[in-house]
Order: sequence, then C-alpha cells, then structure tokens
Amino acid sequence: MVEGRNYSIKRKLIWMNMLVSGAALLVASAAFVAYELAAFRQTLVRSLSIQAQMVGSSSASALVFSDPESANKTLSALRAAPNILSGGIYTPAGELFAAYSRNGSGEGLPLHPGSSGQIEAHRFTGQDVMLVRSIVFQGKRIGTVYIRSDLQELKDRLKRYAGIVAIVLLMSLMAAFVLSSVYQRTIARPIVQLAEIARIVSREKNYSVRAPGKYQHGEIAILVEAFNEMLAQIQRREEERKTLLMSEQEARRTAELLNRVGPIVLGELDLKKLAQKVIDLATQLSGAQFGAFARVVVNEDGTSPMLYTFSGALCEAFIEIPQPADSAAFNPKFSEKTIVRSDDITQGAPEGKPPFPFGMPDGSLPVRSYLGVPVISRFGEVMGGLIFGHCSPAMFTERHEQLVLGIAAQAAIAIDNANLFEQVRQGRLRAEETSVVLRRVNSDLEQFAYSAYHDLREPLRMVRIYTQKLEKDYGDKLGPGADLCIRYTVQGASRMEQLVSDLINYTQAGSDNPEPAAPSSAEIAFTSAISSLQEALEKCGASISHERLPQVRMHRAHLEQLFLNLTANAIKYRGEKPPEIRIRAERRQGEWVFSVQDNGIGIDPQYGEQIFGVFKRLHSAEEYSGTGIGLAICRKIVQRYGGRIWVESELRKGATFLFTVPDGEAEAGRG
Amino acid sequence: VDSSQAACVLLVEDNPGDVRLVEEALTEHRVQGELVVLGDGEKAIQFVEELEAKTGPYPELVILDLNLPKRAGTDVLRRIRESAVWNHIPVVILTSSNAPQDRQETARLGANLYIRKPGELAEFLEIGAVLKNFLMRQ
Repeated sequence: MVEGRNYSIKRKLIWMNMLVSGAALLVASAAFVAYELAAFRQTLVRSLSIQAQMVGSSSASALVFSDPESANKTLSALRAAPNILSGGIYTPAGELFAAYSRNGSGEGLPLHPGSSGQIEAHRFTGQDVMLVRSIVFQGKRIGTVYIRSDLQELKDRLKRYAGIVAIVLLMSLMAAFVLSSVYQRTIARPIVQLAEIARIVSREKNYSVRAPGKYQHGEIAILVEAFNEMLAQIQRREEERKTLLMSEQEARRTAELLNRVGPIVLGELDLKKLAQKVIDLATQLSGAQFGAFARVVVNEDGTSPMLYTFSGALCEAFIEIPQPADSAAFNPKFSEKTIVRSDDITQGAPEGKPPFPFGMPDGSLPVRSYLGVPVISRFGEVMGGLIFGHCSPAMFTERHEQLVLGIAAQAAIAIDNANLFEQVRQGRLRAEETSVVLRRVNSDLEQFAYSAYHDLREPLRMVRIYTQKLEKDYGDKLGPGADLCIRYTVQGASRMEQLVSDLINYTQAGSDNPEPAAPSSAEIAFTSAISSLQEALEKCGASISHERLPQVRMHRAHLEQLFLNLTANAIKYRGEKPPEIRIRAERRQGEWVFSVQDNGIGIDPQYGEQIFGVFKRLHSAEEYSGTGIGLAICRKIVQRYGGRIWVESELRKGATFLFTVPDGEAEAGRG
Repeated sequence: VDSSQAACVLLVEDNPGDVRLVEEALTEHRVQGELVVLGDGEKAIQFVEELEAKTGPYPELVILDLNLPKRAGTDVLRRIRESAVWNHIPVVILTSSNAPQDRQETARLGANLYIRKPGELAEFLEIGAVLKNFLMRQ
C-alpha cells in the first residue's frame, strides 16, 4: 500500500516513519512482555516449590507414621494461597496418601504425579501448572508432594501488559506521525518543490524559475543546485536559440526589405528623384523622425558642393535651418567611411569619433538617437551619406544600421547607374544632334548637287548645240584649224556633261534608299549586274566565274552597282589576254568579304588608295574612257553599310578588288 | 494677223539660245506666221488675261518652258487651262527637265505634248516637224 505510486513522497515518508517506529516498538514490547512472563513463571514455580517443600517437611512424620489425618491438615494450609487449585501427597508406591482441593473435590488430582528420578519437576499446560517434589527423610525418599496452581495471575498480567503495549504503541505512533510530519519537510519539501518547478518548466516552458536554495549542504542541496544549474543552462540555450532565431528573422526581414528597396531604387535614373526615394525609404524603414541624404555633386567647374535631400516628420524644421552644409562634422565623417551610431548624441561623442553633433546644426533639432552611414561607390569613393535622427534615445539598433547600410549600398549602385545613364544619354543627345546636322548638311549638299547638275547642264547643252551650229553654218568659212577647235569645244562640253552627270550619281550613290536593308541575295544582284554587261563580256571574250554568293544585309540595287562597276572595270582594264574574272565571297570574323579578281593590267600598289577618290584616274581619256567616278561610288556604297573596300594588285599581274559587308546575323548573335 | 494663212505661236522661254533654236526649227520646216516670245511666267499670265479681256486673237499653239523666271511654267499652264477661251489651245512643253514628276504634273494639268530639249542640233531642229504637225491638225 505504501509503495503505491499515487501517494506523494510526503505521505510515503510519514507512512514509512510510522511503520518503522510501530514495528520497532512492537518488537521491543514483545521482548519485554516475553521476558516479564518468563520471569513471572519462574517466580511462580519457585513459590510452588517452596510450598511443596513446606508441605513435604510438615508431612514427613505423618508419612513415616502413616498419619493421613495430619497430612490432610498440612495440605489444607494450602488454602491460604488462592491460586492453588489442588494438592496431594503420594506414597513412594504412588498411592495417594493425602489430598487437598480448593473446591473440596479430589477429582482434579492426577493419579500418578511425576514419578521421575528427579527431586522436583514442573509442567505447564494451557490452563495450569503442576509441580511434583519428592519428600526425603534421612536420605530416603518417603513420598511425593503434588501441587497444581492455576495461571490466573499470569493471564491478568498478560492482559495488563497487552493494554499497556497497545496504549504505548498508539501514543508512539501518534508521536511518530507528528514528528515525521514535521521532519519530512526537510526531505520532502525540497523534492516537492523541485517536482513543482519541473512541472512548471515542462508545462509553461518557463526556464527562468529556480528552486529555492536555502539548503546549505547535503544531497538535497546538491540536487537543488544541480537542478538550478541545469535550468540555467537550458534557459541560456533557450535564450541563445531565441536570439539566433530572432537575428535570423531580422536578417530575413532586412533582406526582404532590401529586396523591396532594390527595384524601387534601381529603376530610377533621375538623380533628384532617386535621392528622394532613397531617403524616404530609408527614413521609413529605420523608423527615424528625420532623414537626410547628403550627396557630393561634382560640377563641371571642378567644385563639389553637397546637395541635401530630406525626409521624415522633422524634415521641415531641418530645411528651415540656413545652410546645414556648414555644419563642420559632415565631411570628416563621410570621408572616414565609417558608420556612426549613437543612442544619445547629447551625451557626447563615442571614443575616436568626431564631436557631436554630426551634421547637426547646433541646438537646432531635439535629436538624440543618431545614425549616419556613408554612401560609397563601387570605386570606393564617398558619394555622400545617409543621416537619421530621432527625438527619443536609443532608437537605432544594429538591425537599423544593417538595413540602412544595405540601402546605402543599393543607393550607391543606383547613383552610379543613373550617372552612367546620364552620360550615355548626353552622349546620345550629342550624337543625335551631330547626326541631325550631318543629315541636314548632306541633304543640302545633295540639293546643291542636283540643282548644280541641272544648272550646269543647260549652258553645256547650249555650248554643244551652238558649236554644232557654228560648224554647220560657218564651218567652211572659218579656215583651217577651226575644225579642231570646234571638236575640242564639243569634246570638252561632252566631258563636262559626263562629269556633272557622274558627280550627281556619286552624290546620290548609297543615299537613295535610307531604309535599313533587309537581307538580299548577292547571287541575284550579281546575275543582274552581269546581264547588263553581257554584250561587253562577249565582245572581249571574257570568262567569268563565281562561287555561290551569300545573303547580305544590303539593298540589292547597291550590291548590283558594286558588282557592275567592279566587273566593268575588270573588262575595261583588261590585258592582252581575254579577261578571266572570278567573284568570291568568304566569311571572316562577323563580316562577308567579297572579291572580284581579274587578270588585267593591274595597278601599281602606290596608287592602291588613290583610285578610290572622286575623279581620280591613272590613265588618260584616250587610253581608257571614263571620269574616275566608278570606284569612288563603290567606296561610298560600301562605307554606307559600314564595310571597307581595297585593292590587292601588282602592275601587269591582275587586280583583286575586295570589299566587306558586316554580317548582320553574326552581329545579332554576338549581341 | 491673218490666222488662216499664217499661224500665231506663243513661245514662253527665257533662254535666248533656245528661242533662236525654236525659230530655226520652225523656219526649217517652213512654218509661217508670227512667233510671240515672252521671257517669264508672269508676262505669260498677263498676256493670257489681256487676250481674254480683248477676246482674241488667240495663238494657235503655245510652247512652254517649265523653268521660268518669276512664275513657273506649270502656273502658266494652269492659268491657260482655267480660261474658257484659252482652254482648247494646244500646249507643248519644251524643257530641259527629264524629271518624271514634271511629266506627270504637266500631263495632269492638260499639256498636249512633253518634249525634252535635245543636246544635239539636228534633234532640236526636228522639233519643228512635230510643231508643224500640231498646227496642221488645228
């Protein structure tokens, strides 16, 4: 029952104490009672023995003289002892000589009391005790005395003992209960308290509770101490875990916030708007009451003043202060590239930092919490700083610092981007302006060339027709030599007309179709060019061969003109053998290289560049006709598409004209 | 001027060289009659309006250059075609321009023929034959 699990340690201890003391008392009592009873029995036996001796002595003469009367008298003296039930005297032969019985009957007398060889013997039964003693007279056994006594006194005594033992036991148990109830606390209470605390800890997960430590020594003290130590460790680990969890959460939140800041800030290319967005976001996220973004702006004249952008509830008060830039602490701070965080700037500067207030006009703002972070470009130069303030102390934590630092980093990238964008935009604007001017000049030039062409042609037509008329009407009257004069005049006019016509062709070459070219087949352009030269080719017995030609991004008419001019040149400047002309195309590093190779008279390499000039010729009109515009037109067309044209040749060894066309697809592939 | 015997031709042309060549061409093909020559577009338009007011006599053929001082040949042509009395008179464009837009616009305005001024004397003189044909049809 005591071992039952459902009992508290307190009850168990009380039970155990009572049980132990009860058991001890019981054993002690039993021993005592047993001893008492044994002693009483001995006393009883001795008392009976004395009475038996007395009876024996007194009745010895009666036996000798066979006087039963005298013996009965002697026996009746036993009446004085109330416990003696009966008595008797026997002859040595075992015959009853005299008898006594308390109730007067002799029925209780045994016929043969103990007849052993001993002088005396006794025997206890459940109800009584018997004693026999030999009667010796002059060394001779003359008879036996028998006495039987009841055990009434023994029983009374036993009852009394039992009562005493019961009372003592009861009182002892009560005392034990009281005492153990008092003393169990020494053991049970700390354990119960530990158990209670353990319960609280396990139920409430509250590791801050402690077992009371008033026990100075002993196992309980060790137990309490160890338990408290264990709790402290758990609490510490729990706190560490919570701190870690919180810092992880904070890091995640910071990262999330910064992720949100990124797209907002990085998308802005206008510096003013960008600065405002940055400081608005940073002020909001840091919980500051005011924020300022101080930016170093490098002007074209070399000066670099600070520009300020403000945000937050207090910013109006800040703006009203004249020239916050004069506050001396600004520049040293940002040039140091250090973060400054202060829980209360009114309490003075941290060690090794410039004196307060940083960037704070004297006594102007009731700012106490302060956070200043430099904005550093990717090249390591300080672009400015973010400054935050709050009227309450200790408003900025490590987390705010990290957050603002993150924003500062993104702001730096965004400003770099915006600056780059601005540079590119300016560059593009300038290029566009230049391009517009160039287009206008080009257009003017074309206009001019066109009207010059017409205006020049008219007088030339007059010169031609009237020279013809002069020859027709007055040829025979002008005398010898006039014919030649007239012929040269006509030739000059014709050549002039051709030159003017070529000039207009050159002006318009490549610019007649301003649309970007779609890919067109060089094969088709080549075939078309050859077909218009068919007659000339046949006339001189030329053979022309070509490899398969690719698609290129070029207007077909321009490509056709290139093939036409180059092939016509190959025919015109042929040698003594019939011309052999080969046309090829080869792909090299993002461009197509076309070549037109002939076996003609060739070109002295020193003139390799000159021949592409307008009206540049290496031969007289008598040797080879033409004005020298063909290759100039070729170069103009090739250059319009971003290509190059050149000649590889030696005198009398043929010439190879090569030109390139950028490969649009390859470029797109690279892009 | 007796219009039944000798034709009256109006030539609007600022280049004296070409005026002389037109005269030669007409002479070459024996076209007889008066040749009225006006040197700019404004004079030509005034002439058209004056004759409208006087109700004739009207020329039988107009030879019109396009590139003229003051007013362009096309303005003159438009004015002629706007006039009820000048409307039926044939107009031949004789110009150094070979521009397609000039050909198209004059045709739209009602020119009867477009001749580009030739660069050879013989070809120029042949214009006389063409002009004679026009007058014969009248």
